[in-house]
Amino acid sequence: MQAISVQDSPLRILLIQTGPAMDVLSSLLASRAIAHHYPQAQLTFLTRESTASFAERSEWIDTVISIPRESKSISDISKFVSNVLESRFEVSVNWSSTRSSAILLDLIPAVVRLGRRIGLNGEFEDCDAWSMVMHSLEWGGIHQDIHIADMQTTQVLTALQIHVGESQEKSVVSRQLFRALTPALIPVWAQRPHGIRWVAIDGDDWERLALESAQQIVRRHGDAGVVWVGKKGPSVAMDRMISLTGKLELDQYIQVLSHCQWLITKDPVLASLASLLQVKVIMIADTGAALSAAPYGNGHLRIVTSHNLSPDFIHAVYSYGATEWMHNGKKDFLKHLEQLSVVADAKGVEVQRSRIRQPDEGGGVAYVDLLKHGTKKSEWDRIATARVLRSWLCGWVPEIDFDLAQIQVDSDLTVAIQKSFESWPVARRITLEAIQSAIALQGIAVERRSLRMMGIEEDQKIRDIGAKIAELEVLLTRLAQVETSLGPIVQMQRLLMHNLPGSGLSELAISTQQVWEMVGQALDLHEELAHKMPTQVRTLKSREPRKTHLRLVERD
Amino acid sequence: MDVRLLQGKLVKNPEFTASRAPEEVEALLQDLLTALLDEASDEEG
Repeated sequence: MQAISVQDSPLRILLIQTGPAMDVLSSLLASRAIAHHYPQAQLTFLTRESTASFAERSEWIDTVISIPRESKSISDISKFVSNVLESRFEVSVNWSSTRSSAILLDLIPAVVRLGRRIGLNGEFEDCDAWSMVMHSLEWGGIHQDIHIADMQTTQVLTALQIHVGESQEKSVVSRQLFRALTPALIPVWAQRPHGIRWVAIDGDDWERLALESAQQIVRRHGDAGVVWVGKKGPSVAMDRMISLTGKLELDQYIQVLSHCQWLITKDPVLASLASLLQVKVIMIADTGAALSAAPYGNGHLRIVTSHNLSPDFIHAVYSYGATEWMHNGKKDFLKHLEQLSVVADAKGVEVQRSRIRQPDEGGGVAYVDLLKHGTKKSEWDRIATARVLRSWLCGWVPEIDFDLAQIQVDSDLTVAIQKSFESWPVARRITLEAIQSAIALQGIAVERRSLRMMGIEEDQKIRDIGAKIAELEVLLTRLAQVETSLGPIVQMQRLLMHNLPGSGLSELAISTQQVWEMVGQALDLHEELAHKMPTQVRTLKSREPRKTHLRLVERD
Repeated sequence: MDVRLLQGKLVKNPEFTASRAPEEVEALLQDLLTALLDEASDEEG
């Protein structure tokens, strides 16, 4: 482990994010948390020219390096690379997936590197486990409920704790999170009526519903006005309604949104920008949309559905959020819908409210279901997977009660989990076989070291064990095709095996054992969650879960 | 400026150069330049 001395020198951290605007905004949220915990850090943000403006407006970023858009020739790009190579960092992290960013992580001098780099074989390689998880999320298949900004934050803070020491956490990053660089006077906005709550609506892709919802809000709330942002919007003349569609540059977005209390949008980039400006967001998302595209912070509302929404329902969600200062989130959302006679409109719709969890609850942002539907099996899987990821990568899991509080058990969930656990004994048997095979491999490695040579018989044994481990992997993969809860575990297992640390047989055998032990630990955590759930599920299983996965699996 | 001049700058990064042969470093730099150009044209596209 490499300790970084920062007694006399600054803690210089390079953050590389060359992805699209949405990724840049998420990374800026993470970088803000890093600046908060390590105020002595000097943060450099490397990004594309097209997204550099976001970083330039972030007060906690000290230096922005942008990859010039106009670089057309080798000479242009060489000049850029040459300048970048002048810098030196204590910690550098690559949060993007592009080849150039991975190479830059390698090239730019740094003591500690995190994220995706290019390995000696020229292929992508992850420097750390969080990076593996984040990139596997891009491929799909791992559904979990940790926000990408939280993963990035945890990834860097963990490395800083290890290499630099505990966080100082005494600084307060400016409340003015984002700043406009140039005065962005928009006459029509400057002349708006003051003393009312402004709701920004981006109606792109849902113009008609957006207009009807806006009309409801303006008619039913005398203290509210609507400002249209986004590319296009309705041309409707109405009191307390202003259209700025298609007219706003980034600085102007920042200026307008800063004066709004709410933003209603389907656009994750705009939602992230608003959350950086501490503007509450009502985000409309399709079923299955990743949490990473959800706004970050407390009190945002997320409407998730594949069904058509009604303007009455969107108004109801707004009015619930807009009156939260009175009910402090304690008002029952269903009762609120009843009072507005829109319960029927909630069919097939999920409404979730965000909150930042305390560190002992697992930290980060969580979205809590306000409609208290029975939890779907896929949601249960997400919660269980997040526990597994925290356990694997942070070394601890939040108190189980915090996760249980998110779960509404009904008979469908009970049956789904019961069915799911039919596969568990097989998964455990596979896991134990794999662990035992890895241990056997270690035995051969020790023997070989003492003999200093390998006979044909030993060589065959190693091949046989290797083939058996590969076969067990295939079996577990097949099982995961039947039982979806196993999917994320299997995907991570394969990733970990792909990035197996170690060079000699002995080291590789030990790493293999550790990876399979992690699989066993994941099975334990899933089972623990099922057993601790109230009522139905507990009664389905007669025996208590055993303490460790090794004891759980027994050979016939 | 060409790749060879850039290579000189990598002396400042001993951890990097220690683990790679000079021809690998040159290949990687070339790879970077190509990737940046490709990604820039993707972005425009």
